[in-house]
Amino acid sequence: MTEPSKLELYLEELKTLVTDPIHKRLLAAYTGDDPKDSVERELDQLLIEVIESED
Amino acid sequence: MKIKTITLQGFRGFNQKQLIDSHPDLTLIYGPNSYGKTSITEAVEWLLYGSTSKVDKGEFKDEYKGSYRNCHLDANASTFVKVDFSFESDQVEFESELVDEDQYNRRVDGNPVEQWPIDPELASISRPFIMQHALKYLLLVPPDQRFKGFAQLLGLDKLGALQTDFDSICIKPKSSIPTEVATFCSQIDSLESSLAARPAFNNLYSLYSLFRKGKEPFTSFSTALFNECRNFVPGGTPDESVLPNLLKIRDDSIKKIFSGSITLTPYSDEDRTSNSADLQYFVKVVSEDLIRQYSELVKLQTSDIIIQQSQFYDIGLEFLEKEPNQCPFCGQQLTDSIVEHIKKKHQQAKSETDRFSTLLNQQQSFLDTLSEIERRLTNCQLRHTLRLTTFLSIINSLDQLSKILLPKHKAHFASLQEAITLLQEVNHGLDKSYRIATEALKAAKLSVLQSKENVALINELGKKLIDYSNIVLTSVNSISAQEPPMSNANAILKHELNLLAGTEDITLLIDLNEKQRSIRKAFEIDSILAGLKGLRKTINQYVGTKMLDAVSNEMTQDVMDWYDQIRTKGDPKVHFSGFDMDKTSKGEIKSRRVQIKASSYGKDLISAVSSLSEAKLNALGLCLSIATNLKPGCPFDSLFIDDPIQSWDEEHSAQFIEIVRNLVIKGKQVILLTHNKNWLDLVRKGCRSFNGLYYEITYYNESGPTIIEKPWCTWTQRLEEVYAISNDETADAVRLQHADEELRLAVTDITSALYLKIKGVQKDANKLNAREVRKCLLECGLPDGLIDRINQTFDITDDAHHITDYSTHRERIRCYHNYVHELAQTLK
Repeated sequence: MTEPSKLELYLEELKTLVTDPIHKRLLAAYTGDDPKDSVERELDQLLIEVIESED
Repeated sequence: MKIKTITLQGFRGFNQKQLIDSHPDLTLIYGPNSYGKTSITEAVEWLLYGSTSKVDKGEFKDEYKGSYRNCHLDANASTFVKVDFSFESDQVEFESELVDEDQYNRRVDGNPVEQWPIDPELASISRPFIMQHALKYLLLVPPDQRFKGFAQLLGLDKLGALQTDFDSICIKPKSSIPTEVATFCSQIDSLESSLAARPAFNNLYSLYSLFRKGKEPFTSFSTALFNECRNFVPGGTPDESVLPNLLKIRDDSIKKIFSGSITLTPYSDEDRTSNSADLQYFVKVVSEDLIRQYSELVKLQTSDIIIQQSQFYDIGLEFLEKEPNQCPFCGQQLTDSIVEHIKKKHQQAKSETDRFSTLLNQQQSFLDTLSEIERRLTNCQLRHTLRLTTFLSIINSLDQLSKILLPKHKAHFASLQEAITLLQEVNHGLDKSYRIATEALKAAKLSVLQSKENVALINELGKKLIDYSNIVLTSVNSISAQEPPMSNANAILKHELNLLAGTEDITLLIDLNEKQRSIRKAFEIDSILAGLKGLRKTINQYVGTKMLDAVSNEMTQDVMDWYDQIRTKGDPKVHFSGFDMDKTSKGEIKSRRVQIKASSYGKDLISAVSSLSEAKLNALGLCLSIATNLKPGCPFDSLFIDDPIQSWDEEHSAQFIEIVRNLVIKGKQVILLTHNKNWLDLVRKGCRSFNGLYYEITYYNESGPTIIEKPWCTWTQRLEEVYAISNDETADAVRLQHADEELRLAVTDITSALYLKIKGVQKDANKLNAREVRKCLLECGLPDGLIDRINQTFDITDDAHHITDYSTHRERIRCYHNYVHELAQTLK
């Protein structure tokens, strides 16, 4: 198992500082070669889920 | 990791291949401006990081394209940089070859690699290069850029990038939300505006606003809405009938004026998926395989006779089993050969029948395919014509519509008329193409059923299906293009009808009722987007705190320690006094604002950047880079310092020599480059005992720089030093060992000078060993006794250079000093 990178450690620490599950989800999306794009797509997905939800 | 040698070819100011040896402690390179000094530093930086900080920080990247390759380099020659590193007890060669403008191939000991086999987070570690332009980019820049520079210096650049990314996501989310979400929200916004604009519903709007602000639950608004609805229906109406009653009241009122609507239903995602699947099917279904299957069905034309024959034989053989050797039809006796003949004929007929059975299955499968085409054609056609028929039915009401919409909504009415004309043509085209395709389908089907297969028919079917697909594609585009303007026209029509019928309030209440779920969802979307501010704040504070920890504690002390070494006694007491992060009046850390503090005679100044002289800022930048390079975790033991004393006076420049000494003592390999020859002479004197390497760049042309190694000091100075140490009774073992080292170097220097004088050939003093020293002295014709004494001296003192537990002896040093002095006399 590879050691977590510095960025992963920061994100883990940040996740403990936020309580909103949406914010946790956005922080978790900050990965890959273009992490900003990844978070933006996650936010889009989140909003679409709201308008498509049955409740 | 320390650098042993640097080899470069075709990089920046270097054209022809050059090799530069590096001393494990201190290497000094002097060169006038533009003689290629910085190219050496940048070569190693490019090798390690794939780019130089000068290019990385350049505002217009186009200006730097292709700048790594020397413009005079032969077209067939490659640009490369090679560095031999000593790594613990090993030596490893890193090589990077430029293959395109900014691309490179890397090799370690000749083997291709993607990344260097050192810390994977190399980019996050402070670079072992201190360059003037880098210092400028670190201090004299806007706050955000300074933050970035500090973050990189402290290995927090990824954290800085994370903050920048979330900043841009959290600050402007509305502008980047998906279109469908934006449309959804704008519909609710529009409903909210209508509610705000109806004075009759002031109370309702107040509750709505309180809900949106999170101060009232949605049920308060919902209950008030229901009570408003009740006001419009007869008393005693049951709860469940309130909304249907409202709808009826509204529809009845409107129908008295106009009963139609402008309806052009948009294609749903499901419609589009089905459409796409159908069109793909139509284009691909008439394949070569299908045509081959169809052609084979021709053989079924003769199948009826064969099948009847087979059935005939079946019956005959059944009778023969009961009455063997007797004809089942006339009762005549049959010979064995005739019976055998009948059985053989039966077997043949049966085989033929089996073959036909496969063909019959194939025929059924073909007919199934035709049925599937028919089913898809029908569904596809309905998908479009139902929309068109519904929309075009408005033609009958155009007169009435003109009275409602004109002259107030002339543009909408005109676009309606245009849409009608266009979509009538679309409808006609679709209908015609559909009929042609279905006729071709029927012809193909009939040919199979009548066993009159004709390949031309199936080819025609394929062609007509493709024609139909093309018509459908253009029709869908035309219908979709007309949908938004017709939707707008219908909204205008509804609005006008509500005005005419006096049902605006009722319609608004109906809309609010029907969209209660959507209102709550829009509120949820708003809450998510508003909540991003909180996320941004948390990230800002987190990053700010990390940065504060890094700059204000250890960093400030480390930088201050180095800064104090540059300060002179005569310095006015106006100095850098530490790092901090800017804070708000509430004590919260301001985002991305590193503060560089300064004080004047004990009084705090606004900022070091605005208060300190350029020379002091330069000193501060140097100290900052040095402090971060000495932090644990840095894999490099080397440090390039490029022209550090620009704008400094002599006294401060002299102070910096002490910093160089201390860096070497702390284990750093310093490679110092400067255009100031006098200062470099002082550095050599100030670091005399390190016996480093000293180069001068003496000439520069299109072939690149001419680099010449010069002696660190003269042999006279070395002998004087040996004499002084040997006569110093307090000199410890380290200093005595140093004297031995000086004796060895004096021997090689004098031998080299002697050989040049007598034989006219220059020998590199640094590369002479004991054998070569003896050979040179013999060739110079020196007396054997002296040569033996010198040889003994060199052999013994050479150990001082190689062996760590070497033991030294003062008397021996004095004796050897005399031998070397004797050798020096021969030069005269």
